[in-house]
Amino acid sequence: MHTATQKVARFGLLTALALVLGLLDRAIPLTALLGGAAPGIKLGLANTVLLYAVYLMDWQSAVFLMLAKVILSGLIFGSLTAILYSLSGGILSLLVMLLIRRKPESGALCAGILAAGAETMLLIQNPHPGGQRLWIVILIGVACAVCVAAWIAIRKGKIRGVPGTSIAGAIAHNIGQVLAASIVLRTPQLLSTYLPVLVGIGAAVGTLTGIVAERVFRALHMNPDKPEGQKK
Amino acid sequence: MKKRNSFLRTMAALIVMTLVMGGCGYRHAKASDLPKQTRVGYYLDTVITLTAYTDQPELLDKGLEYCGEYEKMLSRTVEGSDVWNINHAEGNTVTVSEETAEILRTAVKISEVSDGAFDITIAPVSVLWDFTSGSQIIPESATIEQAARLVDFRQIQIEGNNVTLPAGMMIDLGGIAKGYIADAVKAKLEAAGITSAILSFGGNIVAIGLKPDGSPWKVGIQDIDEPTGKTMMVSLNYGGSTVTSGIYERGFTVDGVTYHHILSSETGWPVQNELASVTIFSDSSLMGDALSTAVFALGTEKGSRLIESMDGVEALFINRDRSAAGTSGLGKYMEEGENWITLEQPDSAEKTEEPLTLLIQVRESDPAPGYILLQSANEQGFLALPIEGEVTRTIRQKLDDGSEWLNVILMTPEGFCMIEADCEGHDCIAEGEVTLENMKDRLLWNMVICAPHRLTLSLYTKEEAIQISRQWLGY
Repeated sequence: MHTATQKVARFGLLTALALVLGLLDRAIPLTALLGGAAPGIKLGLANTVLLYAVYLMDWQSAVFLMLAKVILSGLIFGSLTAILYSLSGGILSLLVMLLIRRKPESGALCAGILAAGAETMLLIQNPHPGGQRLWIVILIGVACAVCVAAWIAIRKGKIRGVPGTSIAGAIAHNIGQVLAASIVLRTPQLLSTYLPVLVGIGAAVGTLTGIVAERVFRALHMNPDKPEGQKK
Repeated sequence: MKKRNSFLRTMAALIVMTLVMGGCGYRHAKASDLPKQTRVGYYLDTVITLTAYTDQPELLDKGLEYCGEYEKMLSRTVEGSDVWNINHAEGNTVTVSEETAEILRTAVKISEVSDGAFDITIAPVSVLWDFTSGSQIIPESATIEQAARLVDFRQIQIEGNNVTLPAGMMIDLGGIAKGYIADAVKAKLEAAGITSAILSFGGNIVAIGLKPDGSPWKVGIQDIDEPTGKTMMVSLNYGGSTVTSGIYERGFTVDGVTYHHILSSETGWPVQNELASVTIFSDSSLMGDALSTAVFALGTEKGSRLIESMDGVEALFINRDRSAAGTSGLGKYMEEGENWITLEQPDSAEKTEEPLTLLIQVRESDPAPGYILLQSANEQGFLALPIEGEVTRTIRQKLDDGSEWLNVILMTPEGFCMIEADCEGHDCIAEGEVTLENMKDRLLWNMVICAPHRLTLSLYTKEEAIQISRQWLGY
């Protein structure tokens, strides 16, 4: 059904879309909204393109799109170091999304558990948070509840599984980035202090992008449960 | 015509450079318990006064003996001295002492940075002039012109202790030897255990430590119009060197023109510019001595640019019209109430930047309220927070391709923040301030991270910093 020309055109379109959404991610000052306190966090709208690929294309295409997005946006907007961070996040995130795309409810559950763990860790470090920490503790608490709710909703068939996969992917992306950063910066203390924050934020933004992706799929009349790779 | 006696001039310089030593306090029990001892000698055409707080006055006698020994080695006129040997080698290579070689190397270095304004090969010209006997004879201009052609420091070849000078050329260490000897005598006295002393070698003053009461030494700077030795300004010396070169030191006046001992290496005539004296504040008197001559010859504009480009050196310029100007860091060396204009240096801010030194070991006795652990691609170590006020420090990381990563932090006794960075995004600046108070409520905890520059700065209390440095040192 698909000619090579169509395939090339489609990849070009998706890559361009990912880059534009990446630009939008940069333009939305999420870091500034949190008072500059959490460097490197983004909404992750570009991830919707990868979600599309994960659900509606084969895994090779998804990997190709991820690499194209990371390398191109790194070369255009960032530096070599930036490519290193996002590559590490991108690989881990895509791996997780490909693994759980058929079991998205487990993604939501894992995310909920991780968010709860992150919340606990933050509260152990500082039982009486104030300022930035207080906001993030509340945010993670809400994200944790949303993840659990998503898990239940997906299991009961109330919603499609896309948000579950999206949340898991977002958290995995953040874990990958912090891992790379702690190695490059030689600062293992990042894992205990900043990782819980990023896991919580990942759960929150993953829910948002997941809902966006789900809406897009619905608007385009695509069924994520019937990937094109399988229909002949 | 006005006659000036050289001995009187030297005595005048001595009196002016005599130090206003106030009453001794008792804060530093050690030095203030010791008696003040003074020895005076006459070497290098200069009255040398060594004053120290010590119960071993024989050390000062030793100090004067050193002056005599060095004079023999470095004098142009003493037969068999290193300098005499070089000047009389007729172009052959001469092996000199380690000390002479060191002085020559420093002299050539200053000659290079001053573009020849200071030049020890000035001797063929300086022998034509007689500033000391009072004869007041102005040499023939043709003779001076001929002699000036022989002045060129680039012709000196120094390889290890072997020195070669083309035949006909001559060197004179007059502009640098006193500085070297001052440093050497200071080092010997320090090694012998003296902790508080002030040593006067005519225009060169060097101090060991502070006064016994813990205050800086006061060094008077001679009034340029008062040959009797009145002080025009008072400068401070914190255990370093203060060197003044002025047109009043050695010279004579004919028909209203002052012929003084600072000769232009280009023309062979006394340097005539707006300056009456230049004072250099530095650690090394050897450098200070050479620089005072070089800067005088360069004039205020070029001279101050040269000084601003050097670390830990400042200059005071006194003009013939009695106005005064100084380099950007001069304030530290001048007593309150002294008036001078700080010279504007467009690029001085960058050049006077303090080098970044990282501590590896933090000790219990250190006074800083907290420490910043700096971890970059190439180094790690601690920066101490200031005890009071605000301090900015620049962190530069040199890259293989020659470019540089730049981050500037502002430190206070409470904490720090990033105020400048040439990374993309400037997340590190947005991360805001870390203090010992707020770090538990920050998302990044105690850290400020500049991820593109691979730079992490984390704040620690003294106790934590001691723990970390112990882990590094393995105990």
